[in-house]
Amino acid sequence: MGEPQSATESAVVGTGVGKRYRRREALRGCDFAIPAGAVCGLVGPNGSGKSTLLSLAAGLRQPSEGELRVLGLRPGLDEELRARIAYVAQDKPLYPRLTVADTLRLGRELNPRWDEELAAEILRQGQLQPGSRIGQLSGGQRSRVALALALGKRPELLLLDEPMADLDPLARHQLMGTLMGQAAEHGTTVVISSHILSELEGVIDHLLLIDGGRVRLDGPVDGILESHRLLHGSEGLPLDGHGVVELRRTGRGSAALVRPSGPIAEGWQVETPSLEELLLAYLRAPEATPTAHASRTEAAA
Amino acid sequence: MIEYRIDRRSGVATYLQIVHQTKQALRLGLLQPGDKLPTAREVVEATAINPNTVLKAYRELDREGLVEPRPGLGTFVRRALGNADATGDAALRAELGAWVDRAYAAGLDREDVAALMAAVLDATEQRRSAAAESATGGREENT
Amino acid sequence: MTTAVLTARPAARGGFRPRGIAWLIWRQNRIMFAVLTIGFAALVVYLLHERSALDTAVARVQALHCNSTQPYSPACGDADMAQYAIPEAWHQTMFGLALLPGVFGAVLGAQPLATDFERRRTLLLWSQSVSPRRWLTYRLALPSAVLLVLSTALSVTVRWGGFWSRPPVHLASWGSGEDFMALVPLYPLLTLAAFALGALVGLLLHRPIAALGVTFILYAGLLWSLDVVRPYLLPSYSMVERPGWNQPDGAWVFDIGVVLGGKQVPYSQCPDMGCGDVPNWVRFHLISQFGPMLWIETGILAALTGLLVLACYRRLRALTR
Repeated sequence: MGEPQSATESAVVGTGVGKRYRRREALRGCDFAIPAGAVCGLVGPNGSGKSTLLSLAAGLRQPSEGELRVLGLRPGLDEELRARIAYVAQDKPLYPRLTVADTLRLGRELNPRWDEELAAEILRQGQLQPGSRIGQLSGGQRSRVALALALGKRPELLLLDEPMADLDPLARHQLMGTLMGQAAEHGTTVVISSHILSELEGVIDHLLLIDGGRVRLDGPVDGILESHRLLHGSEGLPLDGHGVVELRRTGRGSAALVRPSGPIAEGWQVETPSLEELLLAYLRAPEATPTAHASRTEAAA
Repeated sequence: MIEYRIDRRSGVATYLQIVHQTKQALRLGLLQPGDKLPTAREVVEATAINPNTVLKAYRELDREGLVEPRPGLGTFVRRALGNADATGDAALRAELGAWVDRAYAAGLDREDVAALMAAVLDATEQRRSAAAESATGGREENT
Repeated sequence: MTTAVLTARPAARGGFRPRGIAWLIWRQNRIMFAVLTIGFAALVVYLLHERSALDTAVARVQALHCNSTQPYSPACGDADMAQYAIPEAWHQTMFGLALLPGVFGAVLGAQPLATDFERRRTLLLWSQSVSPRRWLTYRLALPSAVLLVLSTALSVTVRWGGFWSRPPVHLASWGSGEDFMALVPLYPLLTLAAFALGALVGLLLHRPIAALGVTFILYAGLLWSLDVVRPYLLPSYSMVERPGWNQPDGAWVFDIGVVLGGKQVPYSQCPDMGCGDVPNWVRFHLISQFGPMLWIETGILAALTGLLVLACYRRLRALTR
């Protein structure tokens, strides 16, 4: 932040990123750019490649093709990057025999910049006793420890794979608040994968939608919502010329999510979609025509 | 200090909710000139919303001349709202009263009136915010 | 770049205070290290006790002037029993010692590594500021160092008791595989190789129970192959026994057979009623080959350990690719 406008303004940039495991292709030709300081929602159905993308960004795996740059560096290969990114895996792996205090010590010993105060504060918020063993904690409490470990690292980029899935609503609210507070205070870029769409509403300002290993949407949430329209009207109204994401029959009428190009025909009732409406439409229509590329150029314009 | 309540399902943009609640507090005298608004961090820790949204709301309030950012210190209230123009309020209220009378006469009930009011307010807000955004040049950059 | 935020760390209060990744490995294994240290110390004490008990037993036999020409006396019988029981117990202990490295490989190497992968804790470790390579280096080096110190202490005791202290009765024969393998410097290398083997199995098989089993089986295979190969590590000598000829003192006879029609063949080629009165042949190693053979086998195990460690790193690279 405050640096001259350049390529490094993007925290994560993918160029034709693909990842092939032995038996299946998890990602294919992914182009995207997550700006520094953004809170990015990584959305997609189960098995769409969200976790793979996050593990590539965390440097745990290397892309089979294309290039992925994180803070301008190559994750997993450029050593100095390790201290600057934090990653919380989906199943929040921890050592069950270690105590909460020992787990924090793990963070302190293994990370050159470590914010003990912050990590301890997150645990205090959840009323966790330092002496309890991880194995005796509930799933939600373990998630809290895992997040404390990640935030204590004071990362510039925080990668969270389904972070809130097993938290109760209060803990979810508290932790999301802490997360956003960190982002506000330190300008941390946050990438959160989720398929709980309501969890993301109001939280994210950048959207990366992937489906079947491909990027379908990438851009600022405002811009994406603004470039789509939700149409309601009687059946048979013309949609020519617009990019139709989804067209559904609703009783006697029809509803459509489109990327309008030019004026919309008379008769349609036009609304700007909410984030959840937009995402649901995209997820329901797997082969929607508008490509990720179009959304990027438009968002950049 | 003011505490914002964010309703994610209201359909009103989050930053507008902050702007409205701040203005409401100014009108009711809950915020006085010289008062400090909560920092972006404080707001997002309590509400779990995106920090850029708070910054955007504060910029909007700044643009309207209601608050001023003092670098390193925070955002402070510059002037109060509302009561200065009580006569204007009274005139609007009378007009609205007359309109409600007409609505009842036309067969609308209380809920119909409230729904109509909400719809008109939403539409107006959206129009105005769209106009404001195109005036400031689209997406605002995070600073 | 942003400046590092360093929390104040309490000054070292002296003593063993590992830092960083070393702390983690120590913290995860400290109970195992303690159990190992106590166990090895107990074994050393036991071996030293047996060794001195042997001296006592032999001294008693001599003091009682027992010999086969005298009529049987219970005191002589007891003393005689002790004289033979101790080498027997020693030999059985050596058998146990030869199996121990396999246990360490499985319990310190294979099982915990496989569990880390199965529970995906490697994702936790590898997303800290430490590279997977450095983590693996510490993960291998720290237990190896502990095992090296402990196994060296134990095998020095074994070699001292069996050879260097010149026991009055043979406590060990170098032709016996387990007696041979428990000797310094072979035993420490055998321990390291077994640990590296366990680690590699753990990195390959991410199932703890399967990794335990496979490590045991592979280790047993390693012991067996060493036994098979040992006689051929150095050129051997052979001779046909004739009356009045004996093998040189301390020689290790590893093969024996009969001469039939001028050819040296194994006993199995004798006809059903036996070969009758034909000369025997033996193949043996001289005692002068004992030391070199020990070092050659140590070298083989060192090379094997190196290859296994290399394979561990290659496997790690594949896992992070």
